[in-house]
Amino acid sequence: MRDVTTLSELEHLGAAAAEADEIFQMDEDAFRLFYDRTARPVWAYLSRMTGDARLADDLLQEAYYRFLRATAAHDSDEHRKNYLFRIATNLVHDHRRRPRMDSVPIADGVDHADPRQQDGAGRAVNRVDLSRAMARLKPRERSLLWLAYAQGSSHQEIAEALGLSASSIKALLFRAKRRLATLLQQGS
Amino acid sequence: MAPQDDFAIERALRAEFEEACREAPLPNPGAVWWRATIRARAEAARTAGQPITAIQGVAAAVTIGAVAGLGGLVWRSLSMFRRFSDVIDVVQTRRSDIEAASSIIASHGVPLLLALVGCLIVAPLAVYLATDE
Repeated sequence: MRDVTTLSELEHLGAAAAEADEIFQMDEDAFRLFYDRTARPVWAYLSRMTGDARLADDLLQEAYYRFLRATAAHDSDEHRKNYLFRIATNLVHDHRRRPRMDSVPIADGVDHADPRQQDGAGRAVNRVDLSRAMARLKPRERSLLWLAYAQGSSHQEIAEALGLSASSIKALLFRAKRRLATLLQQGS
Repeated sequence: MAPQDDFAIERALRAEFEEACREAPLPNPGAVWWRATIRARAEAARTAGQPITAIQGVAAAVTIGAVAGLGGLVWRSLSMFRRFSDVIDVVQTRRSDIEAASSIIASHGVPLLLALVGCLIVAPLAVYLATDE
């Protein structure tokens, strides 16, 4: 009787898996590969844009769910990744419209300044100052700077992730970086 | 903006990215996949049930309207029985007036009107409640 139950469960799981492959735009194996490649950068992006690690956990699951349910066609894996970041960006912006009282800030107030960050002039940017300055930027500025300099995305990739024109990225980035520098100087 | 400021900002952001990737508490991809599967199936089941719920709502509204109309008919009948003796006297004396009034009431169909009003008021509300997520 136990074997019959196990077989039934396996059949049920198999049917559910087949059904999931029909519902979603990719099968489970392809999803695992895609997830392994993108999950860390996406979580890092969500946690630093929201300033809340626990919220980033929830938004990560939501982002992948919306990605799987989307019916948009993708030319390449890079295109899929940019689309995923577009979803993540929208989730961050949606969250901003709903104030959250139990947010836990990422920076813990301890100076984690890494000596390796110091340039030739001895100027360093520690995590706390950076976190505070980033929090004072506009959401789009924050996203631009993170995708460009933290993640190393190209202007085209940034444009696709944020829904902007590629030609405008350079100017927007320049202004965002200048604003961040000003905020860092004010903070120090 | 001095180039060294530029460089320091880029390095700080890159370091922050690496730190965030190191600390990321990622769930297993299989868990993410299965949660998404369960949620998709639940949403599909809810969507499939919506037309049935709407039909049930409309049926309930029609039933309520019909009951309201029937109740009006019964009420009028009971009133008529109570005043039966008076009505007989009135009918005797004002037969032609009674005939005219009866034809007007029949043509306007007051009980049917009650049923229609009940449907018009209750049906949209029932459909709204049935389809509201």
